Amino acid sequence: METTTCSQIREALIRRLSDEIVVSTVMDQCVFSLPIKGLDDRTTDVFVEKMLGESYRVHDAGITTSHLFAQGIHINEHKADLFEEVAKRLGVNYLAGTFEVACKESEIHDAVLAVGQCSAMATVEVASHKPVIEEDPIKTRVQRSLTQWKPRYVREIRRSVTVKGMKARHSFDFVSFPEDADRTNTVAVQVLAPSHSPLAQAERYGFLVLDTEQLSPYGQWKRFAIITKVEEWGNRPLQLVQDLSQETIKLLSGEEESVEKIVPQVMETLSKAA
Amino acid sequence: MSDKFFLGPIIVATKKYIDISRDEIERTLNDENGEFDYDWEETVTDELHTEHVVTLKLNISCKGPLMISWSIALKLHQIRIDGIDWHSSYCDPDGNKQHGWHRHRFDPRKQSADSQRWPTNALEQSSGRTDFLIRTLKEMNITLSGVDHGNYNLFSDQRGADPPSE
Repeated sequence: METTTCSQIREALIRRLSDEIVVSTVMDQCVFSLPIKGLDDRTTDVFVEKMLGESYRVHDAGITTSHLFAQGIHINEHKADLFEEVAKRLGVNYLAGTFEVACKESEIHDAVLAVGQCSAMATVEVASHKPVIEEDPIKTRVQRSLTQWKPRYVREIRRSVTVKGMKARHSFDFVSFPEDADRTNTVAVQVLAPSHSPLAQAERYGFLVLDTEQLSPYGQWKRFAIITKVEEWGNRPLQLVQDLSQETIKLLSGEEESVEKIVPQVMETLSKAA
Repeated sequence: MSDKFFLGPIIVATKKYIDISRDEIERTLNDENGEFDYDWEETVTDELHTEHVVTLKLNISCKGPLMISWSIALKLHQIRIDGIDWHSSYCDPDGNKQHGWHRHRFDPRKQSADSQRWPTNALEQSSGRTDFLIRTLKEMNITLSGVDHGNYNLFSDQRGADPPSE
């Protein structure tokens, strides 16, 4: 290839890179948007922060890790080790989710490119990130098993049934209403996940029970609690739920499938219990 | 098992409720190095009035002092279907160069909100973590519980031990 053509390409490349580098200021820091695209289709942002004396801190402000997290890629120990190694090879540090390096004024441009490269390389995980189709949610499973179970003596199984207690309104996830309330029982089913606080969940369930059980017809309803992720509950909240229910089933994580076998048996027993 | 991405636009538009208070989210962000990760089941109704239960995930990242590095994302099947974050330079779907805070919009064709970025002013003049949470969650139609149960671990051991004797 002719030298002139190569030079022309070089000039065009320089112009392109120059045009694509965007600079802005955020909280007294320069932010350089570099024309290095990550696999998540974004240009890389590199921050330059003046420190004491003549030193500068060049970093990505943790944006790379934060955006990976937002895309479903959580940085575990293995990935953090890899990022540390990538950073080290490019003369950068990976600390607490941030690519960063301290440098002198004369080294800033090298540092900006190195941090930008780290940020772009860290997005490699995006290429292998695929949707995870979960098992059916537990409420879908319970509903399916209730629908399949529904015997002739049950008139209707309703979902999200609101009941008015003495002090507040509450909701049962499912209620099975019999054809003949004198012969078979109404059964209220509540699915309880540990949420952020199992004790708070148990106490809320306790409030539902205590606020409604003195009222007719709710007092005659049989209560069936389905506890998910039982390993996260602890004894006291579990005991509270058990004490306030005629029947409780406890499911470990990964055992949700078994609910479809157990629910019909429990519903049969509770519907016909004295 | 089939995916539920066809519900993406409906989920984004639906008012969603999570049974956790803002204070609890802030405590988690403090305890978990600036990251919050929460799954819950949401019931949504499609155009044919059929109810679907979907498992959703809310991820919030508030690491570091610079708010522009923070992000929030709603996920279905571990894929972002809604979210807000900041880029110094990006192109909106119309090809215009934009700068700053933007909302990721769900693209049914790509079954993700990763690539569609529209500018948002939801975080203009915003300051601090509390403000970030209030504004982004409102923008994303996510309502939190008004009841903060506090840190139960301070008062009793949820894992089964007896509370400390007085």
